[in-house]
Amino acid sequence: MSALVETQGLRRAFGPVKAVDGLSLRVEPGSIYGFLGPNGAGKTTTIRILAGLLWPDFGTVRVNGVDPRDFTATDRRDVGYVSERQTLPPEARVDRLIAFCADLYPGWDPALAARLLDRFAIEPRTRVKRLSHGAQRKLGVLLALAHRPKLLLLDEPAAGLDVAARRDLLEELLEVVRDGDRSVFFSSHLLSDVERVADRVGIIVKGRLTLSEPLDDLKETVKQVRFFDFPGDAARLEVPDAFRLVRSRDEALVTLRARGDEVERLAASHGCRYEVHAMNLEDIFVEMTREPDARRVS
Amino acid sequence: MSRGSHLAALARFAIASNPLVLVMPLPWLGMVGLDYWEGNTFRFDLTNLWSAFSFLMVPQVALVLFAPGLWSRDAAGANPMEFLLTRALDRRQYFRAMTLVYVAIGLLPSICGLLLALSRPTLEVIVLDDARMGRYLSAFDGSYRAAAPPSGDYQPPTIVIPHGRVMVAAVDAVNIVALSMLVLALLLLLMKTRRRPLVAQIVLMAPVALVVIGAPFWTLANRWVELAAPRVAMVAAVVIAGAFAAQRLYERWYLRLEVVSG
Repeated sequence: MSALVETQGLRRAFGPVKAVDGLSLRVEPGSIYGFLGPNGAGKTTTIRILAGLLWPDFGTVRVNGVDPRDFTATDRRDVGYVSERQTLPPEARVDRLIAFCADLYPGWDPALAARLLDRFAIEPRTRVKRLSHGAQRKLGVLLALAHRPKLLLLDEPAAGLDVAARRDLLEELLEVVRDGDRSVFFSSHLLSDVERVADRVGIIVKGRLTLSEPLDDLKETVKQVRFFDFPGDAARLEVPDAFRLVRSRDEALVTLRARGDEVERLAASHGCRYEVHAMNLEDIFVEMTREPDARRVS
Repeated sequence: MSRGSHLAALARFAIASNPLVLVMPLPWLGMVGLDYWEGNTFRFDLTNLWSAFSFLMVPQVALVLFAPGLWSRDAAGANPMEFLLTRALDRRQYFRAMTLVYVAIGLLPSICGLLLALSRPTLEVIVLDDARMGRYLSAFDGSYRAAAPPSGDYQPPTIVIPHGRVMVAAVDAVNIVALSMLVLALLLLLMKTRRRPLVAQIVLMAPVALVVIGAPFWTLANRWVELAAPRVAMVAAVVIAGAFAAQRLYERWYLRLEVVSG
C-alpha cells in the first residue's frame, strides 16, 4: 500500500539552525501518527513542509504522491491542516467563513460541520475576532475536518482547548480514520492525548527522527527495570543501549529496549534479581529525549 | 465552481476578510472632492497634490491584502496568509483575485477624479516660466494663453487646456496602475527575502514617501504629465499591457512563495 506521507532525507535550515536534519518517515493510510519531540525539535517545520508552506532545502517529500510545492487546489482537497498558531481571517463571520470553505470542497459535509459547530458551541453569526482563542482553534479544527480529507495535518491541535473540547477533538480524530483510508498526522505535547488515539508514534530530536514505530510495540519493548541483589557492586552493571542507567552500590535503574527474555538473561548474567516497572508514553518520551550526558548517572 | 465565480468568491472573501481596504480610499476620495471644489486652476505646474498623496495608499493596500503578516503580525508570530494558502484554492486564481481587488481599490479615487473631470474638462494652469509656457502650448493641441481680464486687474500668465483636466486625471490613473505593480514587485521580493516586518514596511514605504514629499516640487513629475497627458491613450495601453505582463511574472513568484511565520 502506498504511503500517504513519505519523506526521504528531508533537510531544512533557518540560517545556522538545522530545524529538520535528514528526516525520513512514512505514514500509512488508516493510521493516526503522533509526532513528538521537545520544543524546537523540528515538528512544526516538518508539518509546515508537509502542508506546502515551507520548502525543504534537500530531500524529497510526497503527500498523497505529490510534492507539496506542486499542490493544486484538487490536491489540497485531500489535506486538512490546522497550524500551531493559526490565524483565521479576523473580520470574517463564522457562518460566512464556513460557507466560503464549503464552496472550495466538493466533499464538504454540511451535517458534520453543523454537528461540530453545535458540539463546540460556536455561534455562527459571530465574527472570528470575537471568539476566544479556544473557540478559534475549535473553528480551525472544524474547517479542517468537515471536508473529510484523506490526510489531516494537525500541529498542536489541542493547545488552548479545555478538557471537554480536547475529548471531542480526539473522538473526531478517531472518527476520521474509521473508514480505513484516512490518516492523521499530528504533533502534541499532551502525551496522554497521543497515547489515547495514536497507533504509531515518531520522536524527533534536534531535527532527526530518533524513533518511528507502532505505539503498542514501543510500550511493549521499552521498559524500566530495577536490578537489585547484586552479588558484587551494582555500579559495575553496563547496558550499552540503555536510554538511561542510574546506578548505586546496591541497585541499578535501567530504561532499555528489550524483547522476549532479554531482561531475564541480563539479570542472570549479573547474578541479580529484577523487577519491571510499567512505563506510559510520557515516561518513555522523557527517557528517550534526554540529553546524552544525562543518561548515565552513578 | 466556474473559474469566474471562483475568482469573484475569492475577491469577495479578500474584501470581507480585510474590510479595512474599503475604508482606505476614503481620505483620497475626500481630496478628489476638495480638488473639484477648488476650481479648475492648477497652480504653477501640471501636477496637483492629491494625486501625489494618493500614491501613499497603494503600499498600504498592498500590505493589507497580500502580506497581512507583515502588516499585523501578532506577538505569537502567526501568519494570516497561512489559513487561505492551505485551503483547496488555486494560488494563481487567489493571486489574480487579490491583484484585481488591489488595483481596483487603488484606482477608485482616480476613477472618481476622472468622472468629475469629465463634467468640467477645461484646465487652467498658471505658468510663470516662459519656456514652460511654450512647451505646454506646443504639447497640448488647442491650448491657448488666457486673455487678460477686461477690468485690467493683474492676472498671472495662464494657459487654458481644453480637456486638460481629463488628460491629467487619466495620467493619474495610469500612474496608479504603474505604481501598484511596482509596489507589488517590491513587496513580493521582500516576502521572498524573509525580512523582518518592520524593515519590510520601511523599505516599502520609503520610495513612495519620497515621491509624495518630492512630487509637488519635482520637475520630472511635471515633465512626465506634460509628456504623457497629450498621448494618454497610448501611454495607458502601454502601462496596461505592462501591468498584465508583470502580473503573469508575479504569479510565478507567488506560487513559489513560502509562508513564513514567527
